[in-house]
Amino acid sequence: MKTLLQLYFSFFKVGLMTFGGGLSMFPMLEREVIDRRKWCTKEEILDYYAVGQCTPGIIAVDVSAFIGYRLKKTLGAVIAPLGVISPGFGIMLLLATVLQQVADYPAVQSAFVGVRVAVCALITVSVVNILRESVRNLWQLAVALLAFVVVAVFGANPAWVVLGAALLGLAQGRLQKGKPAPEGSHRP
Amino acid sequence: MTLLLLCYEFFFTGLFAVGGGLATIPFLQNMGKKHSAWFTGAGLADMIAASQCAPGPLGTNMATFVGYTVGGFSGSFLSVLALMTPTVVIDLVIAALLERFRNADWVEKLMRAIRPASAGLIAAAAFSLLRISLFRESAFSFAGLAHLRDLLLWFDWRCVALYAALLPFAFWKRLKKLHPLVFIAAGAAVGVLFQL
Repeated sequence: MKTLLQLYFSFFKVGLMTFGGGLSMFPMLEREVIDRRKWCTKEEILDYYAVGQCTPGIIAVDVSAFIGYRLKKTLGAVIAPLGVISPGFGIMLLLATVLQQVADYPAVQSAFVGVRVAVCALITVSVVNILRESVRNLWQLAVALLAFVVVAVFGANPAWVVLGAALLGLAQGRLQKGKPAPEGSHRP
Repeated sequence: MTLLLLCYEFFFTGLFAVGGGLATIPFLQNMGKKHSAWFTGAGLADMIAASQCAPGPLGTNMATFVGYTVGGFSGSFLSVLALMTPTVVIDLVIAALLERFRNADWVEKLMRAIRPASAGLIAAAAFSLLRISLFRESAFSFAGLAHLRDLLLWFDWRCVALYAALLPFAFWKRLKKLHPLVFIAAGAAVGVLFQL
């Protein structure tokens, strides 16, 4: 019981101190989970990140679930993610209530026009970083472009794109197995 | 009924959004298109902005706001839980067989295709945000395009100027680590000053 509470509050703290989620959470995890609590090592957390990036869902939830599982099995894997999302949940509820109250003032509306543009600038940077990390060859560029066009131009449901890409990946894997030294499919 | 639908949509999002919080944005946009009474594209852009100002994972923050907008407190609570459920369940399965999963050849192959696809999806979401923020949606039509110079009317040029001014700062290595709040505050200040 004590560990479960510690687990919840440690991750609550990590959630409260990180902005932007995901990778920006790492320094806080290092301090709280590795240095202070000694629950796991840096290498283990990096492994959890790697797995989290290739499974569906929020990465912060993945990483905290894995650490929680390590300590307290299933219950830990539920409690730790709840801890990490709690502060954001509370603060977002407050923000949502306040923003709905003031949304009709002209000054607030002008502010939000500017804010949207700022968010675009921030997200442009993230998109460039993500593309740099996940597109390493022509084939992957084609997959990314196809996903972009199918959703941005034709308005398809993104889930189909993910499923389609999964099938493509498996099919390509098969092809590579068939041919010992295929051309045009460099390993990243 | 709305709450059930909300749960379904967020469960679905949690199941397919690979690559973290940003990867949920294309699904949220799709949600707004499907259920037009829930929120508009511009409304979603505001919710994304607010989520970046608050601490915690971006994905669950956005789910909280969207859920609150659609179904009040219970909506926000259920949305976040529905978003997290598939993730935690999948994690539990993986945690039980982590070693085998991490070294499996087929996972590596799968990810080589899913990662760029997910990046493309996020780029499409960003494109749609840009359209909402920089275009005059009313002028955005090919039908009204008699002259090539009408193309210029598509853009809200003051917003384009602000975007162009902010972008180098956002990309600049030394400022990149700046809190997103700084950029958002700058955007809000310019918005109020110039009555955008």
